[in-house]
Amino acid sequence: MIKDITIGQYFIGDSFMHKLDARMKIILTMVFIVAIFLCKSFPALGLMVLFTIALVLISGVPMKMVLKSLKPIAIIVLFTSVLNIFYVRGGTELVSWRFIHIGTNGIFTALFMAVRIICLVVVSSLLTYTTTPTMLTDALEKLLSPLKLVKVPVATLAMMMTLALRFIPTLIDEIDRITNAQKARGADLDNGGFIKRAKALIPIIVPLFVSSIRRAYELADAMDCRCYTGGNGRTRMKQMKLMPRDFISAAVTALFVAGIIVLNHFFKAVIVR
Amino acid sequence: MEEKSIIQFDNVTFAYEANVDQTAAVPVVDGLSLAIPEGQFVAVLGRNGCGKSTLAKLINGILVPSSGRVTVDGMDTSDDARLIDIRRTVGMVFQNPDNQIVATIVEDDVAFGPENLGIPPEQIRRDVDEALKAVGMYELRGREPHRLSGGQKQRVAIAGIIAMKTKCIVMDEPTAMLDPRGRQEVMDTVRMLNKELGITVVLITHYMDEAVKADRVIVMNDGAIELDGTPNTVFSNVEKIKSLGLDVPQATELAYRLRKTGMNLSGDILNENECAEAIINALEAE
Amino acid sequence: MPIISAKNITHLYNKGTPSEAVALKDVSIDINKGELVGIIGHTGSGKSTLVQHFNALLKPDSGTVTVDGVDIWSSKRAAHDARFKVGLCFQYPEYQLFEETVYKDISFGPGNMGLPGDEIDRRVRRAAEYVGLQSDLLDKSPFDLSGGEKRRAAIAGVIAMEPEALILDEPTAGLDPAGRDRVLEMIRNYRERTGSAVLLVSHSMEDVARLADKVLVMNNAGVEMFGTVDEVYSHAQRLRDIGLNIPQISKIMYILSSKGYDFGSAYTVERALELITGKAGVRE
Repeated sequence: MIKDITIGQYFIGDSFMHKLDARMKIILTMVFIVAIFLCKSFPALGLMVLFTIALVLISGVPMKMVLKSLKPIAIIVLFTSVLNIFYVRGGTELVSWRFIHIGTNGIFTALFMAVRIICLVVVSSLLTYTTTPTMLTDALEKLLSPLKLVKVPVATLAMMMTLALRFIPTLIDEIDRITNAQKARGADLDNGGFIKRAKALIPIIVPLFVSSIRRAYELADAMDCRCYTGGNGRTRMKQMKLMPRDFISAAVTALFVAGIIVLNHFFKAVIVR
Repeated sequence: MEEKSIIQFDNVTFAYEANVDQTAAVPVVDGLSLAIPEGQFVAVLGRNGCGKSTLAKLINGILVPSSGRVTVDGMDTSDDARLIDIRRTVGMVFQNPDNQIVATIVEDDVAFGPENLGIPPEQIRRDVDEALKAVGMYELRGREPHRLSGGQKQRVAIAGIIAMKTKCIVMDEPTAMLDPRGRQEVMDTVRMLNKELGITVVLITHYMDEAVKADRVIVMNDGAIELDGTPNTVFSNVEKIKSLGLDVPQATELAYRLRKTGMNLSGDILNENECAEAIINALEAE
Repeated sequence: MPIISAKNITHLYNKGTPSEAVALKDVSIDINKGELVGIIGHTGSGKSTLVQHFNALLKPDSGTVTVDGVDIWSSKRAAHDARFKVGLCFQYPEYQLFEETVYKDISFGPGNMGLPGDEIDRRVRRAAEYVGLQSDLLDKSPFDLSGGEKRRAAIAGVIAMEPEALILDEPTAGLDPAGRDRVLEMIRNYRERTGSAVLLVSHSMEDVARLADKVLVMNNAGVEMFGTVDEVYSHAQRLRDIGLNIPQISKIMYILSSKGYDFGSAYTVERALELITGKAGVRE
């Protein structure tokens, strides 16, 4: 049934990475992304690939699922690689035919870009594979809380995100129900051109809007009744606490970044950017 | 009055603001007075549009009276400064279980009220666990609400109120959208709330078999109280209740009609056992 | 001749995934023309899944469904026709209303059938009359109607297709007793006047007892019982065992008979009154 879907792509597990504090995971993921763009030499690139593979193994997420997250970006990787091959000049010229010039610089840049994008996507999807959307929302709220000083309503934004996550399955269920009801009245949703199909959605969208507005009113009343007055003065049942494993992870990531910098220093940079 | 009343209506009238095309606003609640003592289990019956949902919303200040006064534990609901205190005293459970659950995990939802009140985290944890155990949902505390049955969702909503430690709970047709099994679950929970936790319960319902379990039944019609008393006294007015577009329990109706044929049934008859017993006694006496 | 006939249908949810579940298991059933059949069973028993097979909303994984003698999955055309020959009105149908006026909303179904304008007009007015909607309501927005009126307008939207079998899934859910009686009365009238088969899916065994000729009891993805109301309701103990709420009157008659006063079984107040005052009971 459609309501069995899971929001986000959380992979239920109990690995070291699942247990890490979500705030730490977000920060370390960002550090890793910066490190990706520091890699300029082959040994540094190699270290990064090894580190990424190690992370996948630690996460306990099956390799098959990780590869699945790469599928949507395959085209982008291919496209940027091809562009780089043709546009980046310099190095030893390998092909020179009319207006086409391919040099080693182009090949290296293409290779670096492809590997960087792949590592970036793999590591950021590990974040969402090992962290529930609820944990992510809570962590973001905590991390962004300094913005409260400049009057950004962080708590309210986090509440909105939680409500969105809460109601997506309910709305999907509702769409399913309304669609079936209109199909039972002979609505034809699968045939015809674009205009006809767009028009055929009206009997679904109008009831969905009407019921969503009704839900919003009822939800507002329910939240009022439970003393919700915005973010001020709220406490949270689940407190986030950094554990030794979080500090270990931070230290290992720091070593990794240092390794990249050192390798870059001792070996020749093969790309400019 | 000797008993302390937790909810008090003094000559309350409420009308929604008139629409542009309407000449005058029709009052939904009209000159209603009512006192509910602490610890009572009250069922409110009435056909759709009789004002019973409005009554519920007046109790905890979602709506305020156009005239008259509603007080909760001595606090006037039209006093905005007391609103949070009023809602800490009276919790509310609504008809549609989907539209009152705010979190993506069961226990987080139960914690929502206490979190809003600024209770310290360790105590929230204790209150939430206790509330979940009380409604029998502790084992499912880590579930996502959208995977629960209707009856389970309503029990989560009730746990969310228990965790706020309110003295009173108002339920606006909490079983209307549930199947018989879900209804049973919720009614068992409601009885537990009242009998074991001593919480005052105001249950708004269409189902007569739920109303007979209350200490007191109030029947509303056109914004006013038509009948008010124990289930026995109220349901003995079979004709009157039917004329108001409501049902009486089948057992009560059968007993009423058997008595009309001259059969001598004794005692109050609200459920099948009482009815069967009375019939047997009458037959044996003959 | 049966209007709807299901032969050995099986339906699986989430086929091929770890959460695969059997929703219907080898179900065979014939619904005759003009019959009013009550369908009862607890949530998850398969009753809603079953009725969605009758108008080709769901396709069985195995088995066949014929409507009016035609296998509905034999061609695209047949599946399309099944939607109109078997009208299915879901639970809380008022949530499907979407048009500017009640009139336009009721005409959505007939319009999809490709009927000419004057025929659509005739059907809309007839359907509105069946459900007891005054003609001045037809020009109103469906969102301005009362709860009970919305429900009836939505049912009219299905009736207007003039199906040979009408399926109503919990048509009285959430209504107060007066609204419920009105809808049940409407169903009775509709059946009498059109002679159409009606399938009433309900949690309320009282409602089914009041209206139905036959009762289908679903349990665990299969047919538990299928027979006349008398036959089915006489198995009070079995019905309770599978989690159904039998009418209070049936319980009273059951207690009486277990105490030695056997008046026979009844499920309405009227019938119980007759039996008891007729002193049909025999003391041991």
